[in-house]
Amino acid sequence: MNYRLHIQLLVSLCLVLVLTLTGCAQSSSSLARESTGSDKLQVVATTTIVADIVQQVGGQAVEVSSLIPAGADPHAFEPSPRDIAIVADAQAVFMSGGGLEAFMESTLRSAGGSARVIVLSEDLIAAENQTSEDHDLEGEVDHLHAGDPHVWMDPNNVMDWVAAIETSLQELDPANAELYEANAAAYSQKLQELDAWIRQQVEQIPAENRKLVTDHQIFGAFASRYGFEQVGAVIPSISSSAEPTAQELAALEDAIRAQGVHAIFISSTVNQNLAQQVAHDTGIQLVTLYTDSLTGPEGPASSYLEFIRYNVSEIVNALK
Amino acid sequence: MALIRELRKSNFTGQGVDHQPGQPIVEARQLRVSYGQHMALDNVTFRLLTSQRVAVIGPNGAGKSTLFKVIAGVIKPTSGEVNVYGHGPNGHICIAYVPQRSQVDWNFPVTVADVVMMGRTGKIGMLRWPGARDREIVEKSLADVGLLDLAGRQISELSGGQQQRMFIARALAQEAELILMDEPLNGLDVTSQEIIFEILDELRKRNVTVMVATHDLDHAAEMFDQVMLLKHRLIGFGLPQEVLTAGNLIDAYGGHLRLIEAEGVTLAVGDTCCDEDRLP
Amino acid sequence: MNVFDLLLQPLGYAFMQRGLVAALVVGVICAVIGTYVVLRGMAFFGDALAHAILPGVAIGYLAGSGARGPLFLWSLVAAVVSSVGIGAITRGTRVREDTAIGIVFAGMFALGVALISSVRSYSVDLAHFLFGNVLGVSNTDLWVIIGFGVVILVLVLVFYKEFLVLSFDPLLAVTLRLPSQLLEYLLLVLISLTIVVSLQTVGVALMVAMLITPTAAAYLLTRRLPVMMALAAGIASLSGVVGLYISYYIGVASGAAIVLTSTVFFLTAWAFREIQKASWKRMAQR
Repeated sequence: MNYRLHIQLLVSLCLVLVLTLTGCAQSSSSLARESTGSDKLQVVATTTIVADIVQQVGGQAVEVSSLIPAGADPHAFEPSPRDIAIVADAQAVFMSGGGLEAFMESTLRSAGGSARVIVLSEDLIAAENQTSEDHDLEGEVDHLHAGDPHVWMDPNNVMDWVAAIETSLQELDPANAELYEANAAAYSQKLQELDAWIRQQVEQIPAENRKLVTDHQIFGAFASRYGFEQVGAVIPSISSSAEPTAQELAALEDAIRAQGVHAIFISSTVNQNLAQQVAHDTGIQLVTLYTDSLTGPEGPASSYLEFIRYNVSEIVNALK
Repeated sequence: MALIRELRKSNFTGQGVDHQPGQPIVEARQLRVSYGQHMALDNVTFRLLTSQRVAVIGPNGAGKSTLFKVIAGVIKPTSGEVNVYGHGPNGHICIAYVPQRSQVDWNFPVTVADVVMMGRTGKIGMLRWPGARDREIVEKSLADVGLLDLAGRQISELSGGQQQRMFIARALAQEAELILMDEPLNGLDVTSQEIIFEILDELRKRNVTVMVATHDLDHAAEMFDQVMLLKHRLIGFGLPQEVLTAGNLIDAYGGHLRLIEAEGVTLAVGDTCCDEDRLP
Repeated sequence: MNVFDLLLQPLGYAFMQRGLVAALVVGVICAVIGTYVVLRGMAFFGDALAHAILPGVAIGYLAGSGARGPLFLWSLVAAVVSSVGIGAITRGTRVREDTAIGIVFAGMFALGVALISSVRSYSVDLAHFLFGNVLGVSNTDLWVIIGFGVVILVLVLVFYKEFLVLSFDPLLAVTLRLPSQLLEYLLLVLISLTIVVSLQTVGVALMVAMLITPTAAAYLLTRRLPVMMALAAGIASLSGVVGLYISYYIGVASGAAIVLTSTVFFLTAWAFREIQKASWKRMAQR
């Protein structure tokens, strides 16, 4: 009969714990809800990266919140009921697309609402698929590039995002059309400067060292723009949830040794076991980059511009 | 906590508590066991002396298994007490409980010898392995019940009678002085039953006290020194002819008796519990 | 290419060497402990515990920011709490062991999800941070499993006869005045330890398979417990080695290859048994 008492105590403890935590959660939500009389345009972005760009274009006239908190992996994200409610109440939802946000389809269906959905990478990825189809016909297939949704790794693609955002914001809120035009122009200018800076940085890396090995396929856009070769990935997939076979790992290690790769670049959001072992066995360094998300305000990648600068600096330092 | 209490009461060295001289082997005083609303044993009081062979009878659910479990120290009484040689059952390692055959996992990968050796676990003590003496005792126990040639047999391959004898051998290996057997004769043919009784005779010669739960009133009348008639409360305890009166039997069994007419007299031959179990 | 080359080529990769050792060691430990799991009808315990450790992973992740040490330790704590909880429910109520496992597994998993989502307002199966991959075993991992493995095997040896009595006839354990509750909990803790250590080394699917399938195959082939354990360990190790080699040459996921190999061993044992029984019948009829 002792055990009944113990079980009751254990169950009560768990209940108290869960209730306290939900209480705490109410006050520390990562989504700020403006419930009363804000005349700003309320929009939602999926990742912190998308949110940053939208905020840059929207400026003072737009209130952006991001569904996926900083540091989380979009491939594995599952929205809470509050997230779905926010999508339902929003006037517009900005997402990257290309299969990155796998949860969005069902979220949009559950949420209903009248939000306008803007898929920023739609045209880019369609063009990409077209190119690889063309390559297919010629017998060349760039497997590592096709279908890679991490298009924001190339600032030129983000310039296309800016244009799409400008257009949709102007349609949603014509009163501030000029503001959006001005912001978009200013930010595009910064992106062009960023592009130039990257090219200059990459110059420091000898041509034969411009080889990227990553944990999953992230650098398609970046590699083709700035002249890198994606030698391989620990998980040869665009999603961080897949698993490599022994053959694939062996082939990767062979490729690393044969081509003299200097470093493996991994995301901060995934399990690092496999990549660590490959780096250890081939004697090269393991470098952590930010790939699918910005950091919080105190981190080294709190805005898109910082995000790119951080990653490029790390890449250059490792490979030069 | 309960675990620490258990640790303190546990046997690590192979020694049980002392048997106080002059005390009956089992003494129950106002023993009561209830599960919630249900009273399994109600105010049971009796004294049992050494070497007696007692048949414990009563209808299904009368509390026979419960009584055995309380004496063996497996269940604690709700009130009242039971003593073995003047001491509560915990601490004694001389009490063997032989379970009903249906409660055993016969597919467990052990041999007859393995099971009998399990009886030695208490005597071997913790952190030690079985020695030569233990193996000798196991061999002798198997010989005593006539199972020596089946020592290496997996237990699923045994017949009902052999299974029962194996448990008796285990009790012998345990060097038990009190053996509580829960319905050992169910489903055994006559020959097997006779073999069991021969072994029980041997045990009596060695001053081992045996309590046997049974539904066979015929056996109870003829093969046992004393009979205990139980239906939650103790209806009778003593010599068979004193306990097995019509009045007592009707008290205990109500209408669930198998009766046959013979020479103008109604004989109660057994209760109706286990008719399907009887093999020719 | 001759057989020798076939065997040696994969060993040219350090990750294959480590994977082989890991599969061997984990196989042996899981098979020995798996014997108790199978005989006590606790086959769901392995998979259930893999979910039930989530609150431990959550706390460990938040406390250690994703470092593996705290993840592992807190998972161990959650595993022990879960198995003790299962033991307590089974003993203290009429609820059976399989139902108790279901209750604890669902509750603990939900607690883990609640913990994670309340602090980070998203829910993710963080357990993936803990689940290992036989190809991703590090040298430290190897020392950890060898160390724990030795401890587990020594304890099983020391308490062999007590665990045997406890598993076959718990009433006997009581009448012999063994500290049966304590030993019961010790056994549950050893099982949890085996499960968590294997989880973080080789991942869920492989751990569950190593815990059950080789033992089941051995159960069909022998009637003596020590032989059964040894045979199970042998089958597990062999499945590990053969499976890894197959996965290398055919290009399939290694964990899956090992599991399928051990399943094939089980089917073979079954077939062997049926043939044996048929031939005995024929002999008896003559």
